[in-house]
Amino acid sequence: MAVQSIGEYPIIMKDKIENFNGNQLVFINWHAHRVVSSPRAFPLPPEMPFAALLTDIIPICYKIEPDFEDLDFDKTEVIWEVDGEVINPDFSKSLKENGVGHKSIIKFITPSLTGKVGV
Amino acid sequence: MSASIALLCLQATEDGRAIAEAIREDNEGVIITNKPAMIQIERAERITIKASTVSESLGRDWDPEELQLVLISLGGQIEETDDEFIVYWNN
Amino acid sequence: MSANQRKKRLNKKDAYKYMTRLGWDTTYQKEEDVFPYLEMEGLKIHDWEAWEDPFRMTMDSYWKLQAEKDKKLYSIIDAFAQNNGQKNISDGRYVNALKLFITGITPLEYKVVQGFSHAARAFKGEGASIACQMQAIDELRHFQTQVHTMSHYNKYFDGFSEHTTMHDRVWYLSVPKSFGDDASTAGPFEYLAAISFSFEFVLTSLLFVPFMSGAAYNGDMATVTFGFSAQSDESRHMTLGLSAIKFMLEQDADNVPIVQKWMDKWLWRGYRLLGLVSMMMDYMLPNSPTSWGESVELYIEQNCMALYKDLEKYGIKAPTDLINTIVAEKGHLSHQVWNIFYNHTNAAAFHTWMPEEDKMNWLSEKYPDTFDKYYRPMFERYIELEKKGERFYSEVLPQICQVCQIPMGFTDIEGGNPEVYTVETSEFNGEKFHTCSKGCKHIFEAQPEKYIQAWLPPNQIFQGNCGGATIPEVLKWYQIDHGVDNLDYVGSPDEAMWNKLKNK
Repeated sequence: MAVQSIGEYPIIMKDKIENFNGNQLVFINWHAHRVVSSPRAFPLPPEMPFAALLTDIIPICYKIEPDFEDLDFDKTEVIWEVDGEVINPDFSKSLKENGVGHKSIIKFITPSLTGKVGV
Repeated sequence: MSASIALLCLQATEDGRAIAEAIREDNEGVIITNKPAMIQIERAERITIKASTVSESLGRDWDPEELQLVLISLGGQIEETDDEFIVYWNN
Repeated sequence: MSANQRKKRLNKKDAYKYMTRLGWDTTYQKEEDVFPYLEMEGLKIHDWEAWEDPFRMTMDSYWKLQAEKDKKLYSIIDAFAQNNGQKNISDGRYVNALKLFITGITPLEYKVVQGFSHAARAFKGEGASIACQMQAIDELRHFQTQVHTMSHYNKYFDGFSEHTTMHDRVWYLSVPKSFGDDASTAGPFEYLAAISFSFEFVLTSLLFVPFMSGAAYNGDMATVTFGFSAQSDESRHMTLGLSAIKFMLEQDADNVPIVQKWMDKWLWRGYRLLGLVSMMMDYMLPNSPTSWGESVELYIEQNCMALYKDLEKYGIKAPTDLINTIVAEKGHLSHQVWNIFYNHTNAAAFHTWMPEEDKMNWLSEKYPDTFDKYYRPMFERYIELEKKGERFYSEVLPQICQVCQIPMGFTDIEGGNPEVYTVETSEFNGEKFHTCSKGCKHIFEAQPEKYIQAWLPPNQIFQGNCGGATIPEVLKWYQIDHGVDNLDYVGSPDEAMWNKLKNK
C-alpha cells in the first residue's frame, strides 16, 4: 500500500531520541503479571545505573502486584531480557552499557512468582 | 443481516404503526414484531411499501420519502419511486 | 384555475436526475488538476454513473426531512430538561458512558464533517459527491444534536464541559482521534472504505447500538431520542458505504486487492477502537442489555461473516486471522480494558469503580470461561484495598501501541497465555516501533511513514509538550479538574450530587 500522496511525503520521526531532552524511552514489563494493566514507559538517562531499575523503577511500578512482597532481588531467581534477548546484567553499569537503547523493552521473568492476582 | 431476509425497523410512533399496518396488508408472509419503541419488519427477499395503502391507513397523502422520518434501520437494497419504497435482496 | 387542477410534478427519478446531474467535463482546465485525488490511490474508475444513490435525495427533500427530524428531537430534549429527566436514569455511574461518548465520539462526528466534505470535492461523479455532501451535513447535525442532548447532563455531572480540548490532548482520547486522523489523511476512496463501509456499515452495531440500547435500559430518554433521530441518517450512511464498496469492486478487477487491504486494515482499527465500547457495555451500564461477548457473536461471527460471504463473488476474502483474534479475545477484552482504566482513573476525565455483587454475578454468567478464573479475584482484591483506603492508582505511564494507541494490555490468548502481554516490534529508519498485535503491526509495516509521526500521549508528556513532567501538571493541561472529573466514582462530587438528587 505505502503512503499515497500527491507530491512528496515527509519523513517525520516524532519520537526520535533527540526529542527527549537527554533521556531515552524505556519500557519495563514483569512477565505474566497483569494487575499492572500494561508494560510501563519511562524517560530515563542512558547513563542511569541498571541497579536503579531494581531500587526505584520496579517498586514504583509493581508494588501493587500481590507477588511484589515476595520479590527479593537478592534471593528470587530473575531472568532479564532486553529487546527479546536474555542478558546477564551488570547492575553497576549503565542502562546503555547493558544494551538498553532508545525504546528498548526490558522484561524480567520470575519463575517462582507467576503472577497471582487475588488476595 | 441474513443474505435473503429483507429487514425494516421503524419507530413505534403513530406514523410508524400506520406504515406497518399498510405493509402487513400488501406483503403476504411478512413478520412484524413489536420491540421497545421499535417495530421490526422482516420478510423473505422483499418488502414493498405502497404509498396509496399508507395514505389510506393514515388518512392523508403520504410520500415514500417520509419513511425517513421513522426509519431506524434497514437490511437490503433500496428502490424508491413516487409510489413505492422497496427493500430487497438480489442474491 | 380550479383548486383541484394541480400542476403535474416531475417523477422522482427525473427530478433526481435534473437536480443532481449538474456536472460537466472540464475544458479550459485539465481534469486531473480539478480532481487531483482520483488517481492517487491506484483505483480504476471507468463509469461514475454506476454509483447510485438508492434514496435519490435532492436538496429540497433533504432540508425538509432533516428540519422535521430536528424539530421533533429538540422538543423532546426540551421536555427532558424541563422535567428533570436526569433524575430518571438508573444510577449516577451510568453518566460516565456519556462522558466517554462526548469526549471520544462526538468530536469524531465533527472530524467526519471535514472528511466527507473533502471526499465530496474529490469525487467527479455527482451521485457520489452529493451523497458525501449530504453526509457531511448529517454529521454536523449529529455533532450538534449530541452536544445539545448532553448539555443537560453537563448542568449536573462533571467531565463534559471540556470535550473539545480533551479530545485533542488526553491520553486515551488519542485512540479515537488517531482513528479519525488516519482516515482523514488517506485518499478519498480509502476514506469511504474506512468510514462509510467499515465503520458505518460493518461495525455500526458494535458502536451505536450498545450506546443507544444502554441508554434505553438505563432511563436516558434524551440519548435514546438522539439515537432514533440519528438512525434514519445512518440508514443513508450505511447505504452509501455499501454502494461505495460495490462501486469500487465492480469498476475494475484490479481494484479488488486494494479494497481488500483497506477492508482488513479498517476492520482491525475499528475493532481496537471499539475496545473502549466493550468496557462501556460490560462495566459502565448499571443495567446492561447485552454483553460485549454476545455482541461479537451476533455482529462479527454471524452478520459480518454473512457480509463477507456476499462479497465473495467479487473476490473479497474474510480476514480469518483477524476474525479469529477478535473471537478469541471476546471473553477477555472488556475486563482488560476496564482494568486499564481502573489503573489510570487518576488521569481520566470520567470515573471508574469496582462492580457491585449483582454486576459481578452478571459478568460471571456472561463470561463463564473467563471472568471468575481471571478477573473476579483481581477485582475482589481491589475492593479489599479500597476498604482499607488504598484504592489503587498508577503513578506511572503505560506503554501504548504505535498504531491503535491503546495501552498494551492485550494478552496472548490464542497462544494459550492469557496472562502474558503481547508486543510486536518493527524497525524503520533505524528506530524501533512497538505495536500491540499482529493486526496493528501489519498496519504499521504497510505504511510506516504514516505512523512514525503519530502523536503518542505518553511520549509527548516525556518530551515536555504536555504542560509539565508531573501528573498534576499534565491534568491541568488536559483541563481535567483533579478530584472532580477523575478518580473513583465512590467519593466523587458526581456521587454526592446523585445521592442528593435521589434524596439518599
